Amino acid sequence: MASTVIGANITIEGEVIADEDVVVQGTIRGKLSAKDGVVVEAGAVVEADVSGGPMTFAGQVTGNVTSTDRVELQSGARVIGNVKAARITIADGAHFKGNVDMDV
Amino acid sequence: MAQAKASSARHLPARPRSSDPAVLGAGVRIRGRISGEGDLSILGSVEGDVVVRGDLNVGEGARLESEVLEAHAVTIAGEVNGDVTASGPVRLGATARVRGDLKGTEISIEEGAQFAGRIEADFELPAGLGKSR
Repeated sequence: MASTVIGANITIEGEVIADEDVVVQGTIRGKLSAKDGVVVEAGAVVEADVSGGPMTFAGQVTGNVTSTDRVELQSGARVIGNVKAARITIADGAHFKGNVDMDV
Repeated sequence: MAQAKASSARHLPARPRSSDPAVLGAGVRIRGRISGEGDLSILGSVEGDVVVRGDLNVGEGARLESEVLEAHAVTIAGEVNGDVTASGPVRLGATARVRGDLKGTEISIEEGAQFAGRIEADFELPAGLGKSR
């Protein structure tokens, strides 16, 4: 259970810096930096550069994504931007436009 | 028939769910504007305006630097610098440290709370007490 949940009815315009897991169900515009995991749930909208640890996207992400771990695009996810991560999975049904950099 | 199928398969905007309450944890810092329809709990640090339709809870250890704070019921146990405008009651807990004006239907300040500012409460005066203005 993450201690930070940006609820479905919440919009944040600006910079979010988290030392813990973040679950996004609402909207973030700006920048999202997490030390730990990031989960963007279905229905969530993130128009921001996202950096952090392991990430799971099922919602909409527009921006560059940098992960120190893995990035998982689940079915229904919509990601536009470059993804830099050691590991990446793109599920059947996920939409993705951008470059992948796995640092090889 | 085929057309109907195609349109139903289109990406539908997800309906807002009121499943999980919105919580900004203790390890979170936000610089910017927060707005929303539902309730919000802040345990971390926020620099910027907070406008929610639901209840706002500022937990112990939280820090808010906001020019505008608007919500229904507001409960403060942390540190707040800014004016609070509530459409419901405002409660300052024993650990609250507030610098700014408070506006609400009811204002309560617990013993131990630190507060510097004005209080504006919209309540009906009991019968017999005339309007002061």
